[in-house]
Amino acid sequence: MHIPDGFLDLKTVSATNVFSIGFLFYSIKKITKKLNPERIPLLGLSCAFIFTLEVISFPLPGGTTVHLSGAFFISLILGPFSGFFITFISLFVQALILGHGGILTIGANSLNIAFTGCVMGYYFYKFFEELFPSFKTMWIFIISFLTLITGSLLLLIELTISGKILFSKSLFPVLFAHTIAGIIEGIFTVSAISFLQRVKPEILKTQKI
Amino acid sequence: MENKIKIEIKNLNFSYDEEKYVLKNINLKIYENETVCIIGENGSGKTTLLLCIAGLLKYEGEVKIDGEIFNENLRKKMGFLFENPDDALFMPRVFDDIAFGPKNFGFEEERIKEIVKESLEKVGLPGFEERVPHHLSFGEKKRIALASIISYSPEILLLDEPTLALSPVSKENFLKLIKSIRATKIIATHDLEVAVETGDRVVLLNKGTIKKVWNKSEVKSIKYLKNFLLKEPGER
Amino acid sequence: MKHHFIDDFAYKKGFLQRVDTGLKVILLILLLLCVLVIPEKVLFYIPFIILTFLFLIFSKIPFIYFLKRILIIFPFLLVLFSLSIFKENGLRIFLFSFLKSLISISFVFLFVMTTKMTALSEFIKKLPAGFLISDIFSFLYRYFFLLQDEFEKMKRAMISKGKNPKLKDYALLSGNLFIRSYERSERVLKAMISRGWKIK
Ligand SMILES: Nc1ncnc2c1ncn2[C@@H]1O[C@H](COP(=O)(O)OP(=O)(O)O)[C@@H](O)[C@H]1O
Ligand SMILES: [Mg+2]
Repeated sequence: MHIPDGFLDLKTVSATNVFSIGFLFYSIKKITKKLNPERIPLLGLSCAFIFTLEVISFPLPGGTTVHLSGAFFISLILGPFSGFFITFISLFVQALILGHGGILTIGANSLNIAFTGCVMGYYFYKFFEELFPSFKTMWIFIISFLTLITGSLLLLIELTISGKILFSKSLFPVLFAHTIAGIIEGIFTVSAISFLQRVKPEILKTQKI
Repeated sequence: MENKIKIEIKNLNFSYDEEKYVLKNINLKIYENETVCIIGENGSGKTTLLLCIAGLLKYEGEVKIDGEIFNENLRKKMGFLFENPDDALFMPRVFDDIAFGPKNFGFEEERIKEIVKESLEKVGLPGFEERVPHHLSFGEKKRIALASIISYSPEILLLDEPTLALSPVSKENFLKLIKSIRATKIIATHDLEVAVETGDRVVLLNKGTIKKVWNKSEVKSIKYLKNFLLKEPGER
Repeated sequence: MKHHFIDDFAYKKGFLQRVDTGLKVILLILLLLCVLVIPEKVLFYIPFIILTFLFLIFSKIPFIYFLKRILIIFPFLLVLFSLSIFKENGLRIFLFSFLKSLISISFVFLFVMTTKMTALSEFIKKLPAGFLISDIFSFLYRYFFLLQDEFEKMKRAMISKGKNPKLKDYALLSGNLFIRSYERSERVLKAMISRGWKIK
C-alpha cells in the first residue's frame, strides 16, 4: 500500500526521508564502488521490470485485485543495495507519473516496501539459508510473507504517529489484508524463483550487491 | 576497386557454453566497399558471426580489420545494426540515440547537432529529433537505428536481418537506403531476395561452417540459392 | 498497443511548459511542503485550489482529462477513510488529509504533464550521484511500456490457449518477463558498447 501525500505529518515525513534518502545514497555508493558498469543496462531493465510488476494488477477470486511487490524477488537476483536502489526509483516514478504514492511520502513508502523487501528480506534470507540450507523454498516463502507484514506494521506506525488513525483499531484489518497479500507474494516469489532456476539458472548467479 | 582487404577472418571458432561450437573454422576475406551477404537457416550462426567481427564476443582465432587485430580503436570504424531496433534505441529521445555514438567517439559538441540533423535527413526522417522511440512505427525505428550508426560514419556496416518484419514497400525503401551508403557491408539475412539484390558475394553458412561462397555472377536467382538451402539440412 | 504518455502536454506551448525544469522542481517541493504544514482550516486551502486552476488554464491542460487522472488516488483513500473513522474526530482529520492529498497530487501531475521526461532526466543528472539515477530513470522511461506490452502479449497468448491465468501462472509470466528483460539488457549493452560506450 503506497501512502499518498497529505497523510503523514511533517515529523514523520522528515524522519522517513532522512532515513530512506540517506540509505539511497549509501546504496549508490556501494553500487558505484563495486558494480561492474556493464551491469547498468541490467539495472535499468530490472527497474522497468519491477515497475511493470507493480503496475500489473491481477485478479483475486471475489472481484478484488492485488499488486505484487517483487522487491524481495529482485533483491534475491541483484542483491540488497541494487534492489533497494531500483525499487526506490520505481516507487518514485510511480508516484510521479501514476499517482501511486506521494512525493514527500517517498521516504516512508520506500522504507515500507523497498527497505523491508530488499534489505531486510535479503539479509534474513542469507542468514536462514546458511543456517538451514535444505529449506530454501520454505525460507523464500516465509521471508516474502514477513517482508509484507513488516511493511504493513511500519505503515500503521507512520500513520499513527501522524495522528491519522488509531493503532489498536486498525491493526486487525490491516494485518488481515496483508496476511493475504503476504501469502500471495510468497507463492509468487517461490514460483518465480524456481522458474528461473529451471529455465535460466545463470541469472540467479549474477553478482549481488 | 575490390583489391584492398578490409576484413580478414582466420580460423575463427566460437562457442557460447564451451561445449558446442556455434562457429567452426571460419575463414573469409572481405574487400573494401564490398557487400557480402551471409545466408543460412535460423540458428546457423549468422548473428554470432557478426558479433564476433564487431568484437562484441570473445572468440578463438583471428579477425583483422585493416590489418589490425581487434582493439577498442576499431569500434569507431564499425556500425552494427541490430535485428531488433528496440535494443539499439535505448535512450528516451531520438536525438540522444543518434548522438550517442558521435559523443562517445569524441566528436566536437558543436558539430553533433548538425550531424544528428544530417543523419535523420539521410534516412528520410528529418525533424525527428525530439520524438520518443516508443511512439515510432517499426519501420521508423529501423531507420532511426540506422541513423544512429551512420552518424559517426563507420567504414564497415554489420547489418543483422535488416529487412526482417518490414512490409514489402518499407523493405524496398530500406534496401535502397542501405545500398546508397558507401561502406564495406556484411549483411546477415535469411531473405534470399536481399542476398540476390545486394550481395557482391553471397556466403552460405550452415551449422556454423561456411558451405559455399558465390560471386555475383554465379548467383543467378533466388531459386538457385533456395535449392542449396534445401539440400543443406538446417537445425529444426 | 496505445499508451497515453504522461508528458504529452509538455509539448504544448503553455505557461508551466516554459518554466525551467530545475525551477519547477524547487517550486513543486516548496508547494508540497506548504500543503503539508498548513493548519486544518478551510480558508488556508482556498489559495492552493485557486492556484491549481490558474496553472491548469494557463498551461492548456483540459480539466476533465486532469480530473480523470487524479481519480486514481481514490481507492487508496477509501482504505484510509475506513481506518480513520475509528478515531475520535476521525472524519474531520480524514477530510483535511484528503484535501491535502488532492492538492498535492494536482501539483505533482501539473509538474509531470508540463515537463518533458528527457528534460527531467537532464536535470537529475546534475544532482549529486545523479548520473546513475538519471541512467536508470532513462532506461525505465524507455522500456516500461515495452515490458507492459510484452506481458500483455504473453498473457493473451496464455488465455487464447484456453488457460485462465492463476497466481502461479502470473509468477511464470513474470519470471518469463524477467528473463526477457535480462536478455534484452545483454543486447542493449552490446549496442551501447558497439557505439563506443566506454566502461570506466
Ligand atoms: N546468447 C546465447 N547464449 C547461448 N546460445 C546462443 C546465444 N545466442 C545464440 N545462441 C545459439 O547459437 C546458435 C547460433 O545462433 P545465431 O547466431 O543467433 O543464429 P542466426 O543468427 O543464424 O539465426 C543457435 O544455436 C543459438 O541457439
Ligand atoms: Mg540471427
